[in-house]
Amino acid sequence: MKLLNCKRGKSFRIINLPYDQTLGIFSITSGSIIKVLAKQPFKGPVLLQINRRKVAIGYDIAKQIMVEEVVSFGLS
Amino acid sequence: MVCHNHNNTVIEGLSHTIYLVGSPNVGKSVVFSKLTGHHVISANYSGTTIDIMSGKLRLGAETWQVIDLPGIYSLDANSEAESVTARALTNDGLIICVLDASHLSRDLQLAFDIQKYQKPIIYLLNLVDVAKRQGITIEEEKLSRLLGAPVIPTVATKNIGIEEIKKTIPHLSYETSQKDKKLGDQSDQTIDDMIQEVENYTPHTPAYLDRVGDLLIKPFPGLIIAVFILLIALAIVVGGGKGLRTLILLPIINDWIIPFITNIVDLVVDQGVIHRLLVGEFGILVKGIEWPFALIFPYVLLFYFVLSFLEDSGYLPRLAILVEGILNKIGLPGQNIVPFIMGYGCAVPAILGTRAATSYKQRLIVTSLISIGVPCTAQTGAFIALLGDQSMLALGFVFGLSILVICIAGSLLNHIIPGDKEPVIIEVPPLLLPDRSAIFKKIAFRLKHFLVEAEIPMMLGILLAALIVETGLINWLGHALEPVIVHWLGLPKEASLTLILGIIRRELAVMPLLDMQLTTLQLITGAVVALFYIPCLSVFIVIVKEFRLKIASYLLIGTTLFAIFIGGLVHQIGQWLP
Ligand SMILES: Nc1nc2c(ncn2[C@@H]2O[C@H](COP(=O)(O)OP(=O)(O)OP(=O)(O)O)[C@@H](O)[C@H]2O)c(=O)[nH]1
Ligand SMILES: [Mg+2]
Repeated sequence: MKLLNCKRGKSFRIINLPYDQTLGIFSITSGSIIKVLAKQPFKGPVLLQINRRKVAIGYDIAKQIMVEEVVSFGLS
Repeated sequence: MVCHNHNNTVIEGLSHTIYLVGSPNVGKSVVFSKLTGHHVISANYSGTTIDIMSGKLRLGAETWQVIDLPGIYSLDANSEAESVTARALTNDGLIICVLDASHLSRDLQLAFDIQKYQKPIIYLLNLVDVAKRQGITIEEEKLSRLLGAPVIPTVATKNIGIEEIKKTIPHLSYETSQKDKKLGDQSDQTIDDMIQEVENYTPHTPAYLDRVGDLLIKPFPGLIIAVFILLIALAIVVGGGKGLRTLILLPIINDWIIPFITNIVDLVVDQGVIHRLLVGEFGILVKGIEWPFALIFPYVLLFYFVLSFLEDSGYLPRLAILVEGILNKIGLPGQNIVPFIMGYGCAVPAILGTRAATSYKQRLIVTSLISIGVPCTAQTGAFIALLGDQSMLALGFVFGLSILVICIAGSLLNHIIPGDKEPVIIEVPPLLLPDRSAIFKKIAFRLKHFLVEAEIPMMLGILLAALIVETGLINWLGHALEPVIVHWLGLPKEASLTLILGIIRRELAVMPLLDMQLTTLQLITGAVVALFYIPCLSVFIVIVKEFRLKIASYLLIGTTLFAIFIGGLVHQIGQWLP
């Protein structure tokens, strides 16, 4: 599903994303596990957490990112 | 002068050179300031350092040249900063590679890549206090073995580890680092494995500052808090500035210092041209003290107090993320709000600051907007002196008009200037409690800069004004500019002076109006012209350097025509209103 439709606070795995060099530097790559922390209003940036890093990525990139939910085992 | 700016020139390769390399915002500039004793600007967001800075470090009998470089994420020379660093590192010297203890997984790749330059390296594990706050500890001996070089844990802002660096530098030579190197081979281990090995992470409930930092960046309550912070900042600068000015500075200067000077001049100099040049209507010893120190200084002081606090706390990138969407809607480059805010201080560092992260198009837009409609603190101080006492509404109108014009110009430029929209990727730095002495040093540094940069041109401007008035050139000028000044703008003839002085400094386009006994409409017209009129001489020079003469000339002509056009509109419309 689309990153933009993700629920805040849950973990997702990136399955498809546009090519951008800077994304790689922040370890936003295919397969990385991310958490959506906040979405800013008026098509503003989406705030992600990768490992313990917080990075905001612009709406234009965010709308191209596809993710799948990470099934967490254990108590839910 | 020990500390100077190299302006991209290649540094001669002294063997006694130390390069500070590392990701953005890891504390390189703080380490530089601590090592060399020379203050360079540091702030809690990426891209603070935009140019190579050098200073000297004395260790025993030897002197080392220390070089602070812009932060880089990789050595690929993709960005301006990366090519500056790559170029500098072709010279001999040793490297101090600064790593962020709280983000080691990001920095480790760069730490290995930098070894390709085959220079002796010391690694600093900086920000260990922040890492600890987040539950992270790093085993530096293990890390040192992996990297094959000394690793020194530091808290640069608190001077922790700085002595250790000074002790390590003389012992380090290329051979020793090569000998250890056989252990430091990255090939058989991935970065992730190494992190596993050296990093201990104990999850715990986030520290107070981290919780606040997270709240500030959520749309709710972040946006509400942003409005509050903005209002508080305004109250401090505008309200506080007025208090300082009317309660302390004006009485001291007008009742004590200026009468004192006038008395002395009266004794020494006979009435005549020289006397008038010194203490007359535009006497340099009167206006040259009253304008900068009583009218402008309080606002500059308080603005830099607020700005330094915001910069060091790490709030500015959070604000950029919060408002990017909204500002984009009204045509403003939201992710570049930091240079924009700096522009309300002074346009020169703001325009240089656009080098940090942005595309050419973005740089040009931000630079144009700052040149057209963002008043610097000095000009803001002048506006408050001119309008604030007469009518707060008029002051509000001028600033409202400024914001309106910036938005419209932003949208237009966005469409006119070719180029794609730049992808927005902003890393969120940790929220920090600014260090009191660091803030104090930073304000002192900027005030000193202001006094040097502003006082001399202002004195020259005032001298020029006095000469124009004394020689009677003012009549000729007034006559020549009459159609514009008198008929179109509705100002008195002498106001032509502002157009001449405004070329030198922004606030000088306002100050001469102070003593002209103008009506409120005339005051507003004058202020509007000054606001949109050409940026000052130093800004023009910076634009020529950063862009080209052609673009600087467009801006020069464009702003002049625009200022006179809008000023005239205000006057013509204002006349019909009751
Ligand atoms: N708490 C804490 N803050 C630090 C430490 N070192 C630096 N800082 C703060 O971190 C921020 C970034 O420091 P800078 O020296 O500007 O970083 P830089 O590496 O020069 O950054 P760029 O020039 O943007 O590449 C500043 O606000 C410093 O006050 C540290 O060890 N502990
Ligand atoms: Mg720096």
